[in-house]
Amino acid sequence: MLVTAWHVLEAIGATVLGARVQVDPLGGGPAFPASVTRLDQAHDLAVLVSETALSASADELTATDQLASRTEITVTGHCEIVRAGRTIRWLTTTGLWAGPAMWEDAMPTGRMTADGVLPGMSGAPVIRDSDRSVAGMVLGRYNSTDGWLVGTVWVARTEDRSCSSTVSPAPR
Amino acid sequence: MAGQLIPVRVGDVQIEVEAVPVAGSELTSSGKASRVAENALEAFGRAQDAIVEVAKSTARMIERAGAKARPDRVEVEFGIKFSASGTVIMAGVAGEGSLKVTLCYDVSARPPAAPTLDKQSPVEPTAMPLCRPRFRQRAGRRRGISVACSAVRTTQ
Repeated sequence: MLVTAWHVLEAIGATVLGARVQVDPLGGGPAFPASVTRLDQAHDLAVLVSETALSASADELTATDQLASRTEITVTGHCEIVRAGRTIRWLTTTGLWAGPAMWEDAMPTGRMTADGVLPGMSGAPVIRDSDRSVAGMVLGRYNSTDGWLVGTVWVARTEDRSCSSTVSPAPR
Repeated sequence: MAGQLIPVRVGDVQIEVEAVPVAGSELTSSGKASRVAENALEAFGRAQDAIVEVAKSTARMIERAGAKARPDRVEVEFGIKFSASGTVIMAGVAGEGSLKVTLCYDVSARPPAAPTLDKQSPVEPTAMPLCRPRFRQRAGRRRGISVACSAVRTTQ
């Protein structure tokens, strides 16, 4: 089972239950097929299943809301660096847990601070350094132009991973 | 924060458009680079619409001023920038405000003012060739274009 962000599938036109997608392992090697089994647009989550397993996966989950402020965390994910001449396949960034946030539609999410979350990292796991457990998943970031909220990264909660509000989503 | 240079083909010409960063949340999925180029190309069309709308708005403003206040020449100066999402942003030019409007009056070409009834303080012809009153244009949205107007300055 693979978990990613709903908007990652939206970007490739795969927000349909049963859609077939290709999964590109961070560690290299050939892409393998997976199919979409659950979609949760509200929480921006999606679940895929595949007969092929990744070389490594998370064994333990941590409740996002239980994370203490300033907990040290690490994110490793695919990234895009525009016009760098060479393409970086993936990179790692470290950060600190900043606490919960609530959107105006009462949708809870998590917030961390890190300076290296780039386009391409949506769906990357947020790992708690102390025990290597998964504490959330990257959804997006806040671009600050005035210094406030600088380095903010929005994180999907592990509590929502069941995609309990599975729906056939409409395009945003 | 530096802008991002996006290669965009406009007609037969390949140019690079600087997409300026704007504050706000951004999803971090893949494929941003190609979408930014598409957005920049679409923004070109909207920028042309914005220029036309600013000209129309200025013309209406001059009409509202009436015959007596109507300037002989109006100069409107503004810059246009693009965000990565394709938003057209009205920007300052060379450190000036977002929108610079200069109203020019050729006083010598105007008919003399009517004589005053107050004999104690007769009106003397002014020697000032130009008068540049200040005014503000309110920020707003027109036809889906985000127009940021942070300040309006006139040269003195």
